[in-house]
Amino acid sequence: MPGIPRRIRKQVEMREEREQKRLLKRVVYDRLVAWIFCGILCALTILNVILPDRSFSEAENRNLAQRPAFSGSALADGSFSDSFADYYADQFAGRDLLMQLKFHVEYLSGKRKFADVYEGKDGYLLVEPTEPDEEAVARTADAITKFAAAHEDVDMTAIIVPDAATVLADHLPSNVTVRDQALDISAFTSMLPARIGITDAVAALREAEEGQLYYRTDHHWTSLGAYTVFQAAVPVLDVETDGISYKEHLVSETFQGTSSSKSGDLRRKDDIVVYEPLGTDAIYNVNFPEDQIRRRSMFFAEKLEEKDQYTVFFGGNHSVVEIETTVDNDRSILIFKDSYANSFIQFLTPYYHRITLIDPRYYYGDVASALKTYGVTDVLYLYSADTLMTDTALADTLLTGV
Amino acid sequence: MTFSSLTFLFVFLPAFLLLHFLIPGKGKRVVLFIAGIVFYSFGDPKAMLFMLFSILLHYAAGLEISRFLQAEEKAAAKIAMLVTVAVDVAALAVFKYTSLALPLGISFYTFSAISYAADVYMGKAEAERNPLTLALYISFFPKVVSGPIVQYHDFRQQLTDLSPKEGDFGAGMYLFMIGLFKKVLLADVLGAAFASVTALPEMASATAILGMLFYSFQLYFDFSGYSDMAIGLARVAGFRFAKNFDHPYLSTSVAQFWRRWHISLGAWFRDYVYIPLGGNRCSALMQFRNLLIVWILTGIWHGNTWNFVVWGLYHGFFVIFERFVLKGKQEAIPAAIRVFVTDVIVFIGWVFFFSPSMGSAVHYLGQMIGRDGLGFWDSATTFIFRQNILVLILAVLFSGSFIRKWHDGMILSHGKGIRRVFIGVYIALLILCVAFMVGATYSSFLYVQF
Repeated sequence: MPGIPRRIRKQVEMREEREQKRLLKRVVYDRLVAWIFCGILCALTILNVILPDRSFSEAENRNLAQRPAFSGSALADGSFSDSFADYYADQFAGRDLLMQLKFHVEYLSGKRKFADVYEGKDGYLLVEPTEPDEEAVARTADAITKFAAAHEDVDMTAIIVPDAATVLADHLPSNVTVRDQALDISAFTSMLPARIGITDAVAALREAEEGQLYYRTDHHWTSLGAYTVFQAAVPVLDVETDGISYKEHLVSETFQGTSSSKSGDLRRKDDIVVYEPLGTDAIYNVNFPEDQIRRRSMFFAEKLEEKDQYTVFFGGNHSVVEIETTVDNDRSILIFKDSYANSFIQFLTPYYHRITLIDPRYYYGDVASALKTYGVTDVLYLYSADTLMTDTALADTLLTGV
Repeated sequence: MTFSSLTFLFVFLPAFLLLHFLIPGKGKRVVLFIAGIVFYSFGDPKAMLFMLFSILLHYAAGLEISRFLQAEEKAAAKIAMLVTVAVDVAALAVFKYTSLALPLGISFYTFSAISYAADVYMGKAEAERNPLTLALYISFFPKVVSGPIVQYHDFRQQLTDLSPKEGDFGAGMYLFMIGLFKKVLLADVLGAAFASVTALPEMASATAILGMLFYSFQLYFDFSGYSDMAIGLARVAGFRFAKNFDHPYLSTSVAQFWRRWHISLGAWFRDYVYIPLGGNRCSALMQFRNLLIVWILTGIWHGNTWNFVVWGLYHGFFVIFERFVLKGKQEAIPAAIRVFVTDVIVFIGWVFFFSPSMGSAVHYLGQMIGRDGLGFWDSATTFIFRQNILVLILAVLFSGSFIRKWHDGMILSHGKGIRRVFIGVYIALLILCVAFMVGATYSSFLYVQF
């Protein structure tokens, strides 16, 4: 570079050298980062190869995908790569731990809705209510009306249970308003004929002073919630409760229900309480005709060892459950129901000689003959609004009996 | 298989890196070719045959065009080139406008293939005698699915020597990692935020505007993150691709936006449509026509419904308006205001882009100005805002160049301590990425719902 003073030339050289050094520093840094990145990838890959596959996920309450069988045709139609991706994700090393990491990071970042579950106040997980299917609702109301007209000698009552968010609306996260099922329920009951006795479960639950009416980690009501509504239903059901009281038994402190599975929030556990009637010497037998099983209790203690502990009541849903008691009267109640009823029945055994549960979603029998077989004197519709507002099975079943 | 899938990161990528570094010399090309086939057939095996057909067609066409050129039969060469391009365009049209399943990446690799035929015709590159080389170009796995649309002559120059060069592995993997963070930790999270807005049956104005912002940033981080991953992988394999995004949301005009957004697509339209049509070197009327053609094609390329055509014309309108009406007079306005106005134009444009039809685009724009009658801001807006404000702030920050410059300055001008801190942050972010990717497959099976 002739013509340029030495001093300046030197400065330029020094600057270039500095720039060169910086570049080199960056190359070294990037390479270090790249090796660490690839190291983590490879370490996790190796872990995935070594660690044994699991068959069931407690946290997600489902079977995990297993290694798909390789075949040329499965590869060609793309099903192999799909099922391999599912398998790889389901069996990924530390899956449950990574899920929890994601949940906590998102929760910290301010997220308060996971899937359709709101992170409510006081630890309540509140599920977004279902939108009613207007057509199905009208058809169900019509079927109930026809069924009532066809069996005028039978007393009929209905209890529609609102979801937790309707009763615990003040527990929703700030600025969240969800569909008010109280309106859906009153719209439905107004479609029913006057002779059907309605128990206002919404009012009973909203007016309840204290206690936990719904599980924090599950969408169902608690036994206390069911008991609260039972007390409100006593005059409608026309049962004599004088001299009868109930004793609480805490049977579990480790229940994590469907809302915690759906949301991935596994921070809390619920208690399950069952009620034993006192002041009656009536005993009962429970018969499950589909399984040809007879039991002395409606409580399935063994279900408390499983994931879905709510199935402690009757072991879950069945198409038909027959309860025969030593109560000395001629009352036989037939209950069309969903799973909310399972924890309600424990309050009824002192008052009926016979209690029959039909879950229309699994029932393919003929209701007219069921009425005769069981000598039914009372019919109770006991549903959660969530099921009833989209259900088509109840109408199908009732129409077999008109 | 996308780059941000568990099977890519934890099966394909380690296997590819191992083979790439173990196999020397020209063997690397074979590794790349096989990797391309495996990668593509894991995503869309049925469409594999069509891609192979495309490769063979262009291989034959390239030789044919070059034979005509050597015989100085320029007209015949042009016809051969045009026929090839016509087949490509017809294939694209058939797949896009019929109910046939769209083959994976066809919009991208067909444009690569056209680039090859055109480059041979224009003399920018020699016709390829080795079919493997052309196959490698079209099926090159870092770019086959979503670009960048690297032009053939650029690609070919780099193919001669694939032995690793100093710094390629480090810089490539680093860029890949950054792209992964953008895609998984920003784009996918913003995507969930956007989905929570569109799930609402009715919304206040601000909710709709928030939704538009979520989508605008989702699209940017999704596409630029994917491009970073692609360019990074290509670099690891020994190829240097130009950047595909250059902080587009900092543009001061719509024309500039298109020089900074999906740069390779803009360059493709410039080199293979706009300039061959006469470009800027013709009358104002012809320039106007050329721009109109380019913008309609840009719209059509992105999707097969009218809203994409409208979106293309919408951008074309602003580009033409800037060039023929404003003629640079807007330079007097402060840059910050120009950036803001450009972003408003671009973001509103995305409404046409994300809506499934013209009708729903108009509906959404109506919601932004309050057609649902819920006012400007309601409690649902607050809920959505609070849930997503953090990711939105991060998105705005990372759309600028400030954080990158600060980061680069910190690691170069400070001691080892700072670099260790940053490496710790990357490790944490990588683990978080894996958690988010695994978490995306979370599903609880509720066999006894009620």
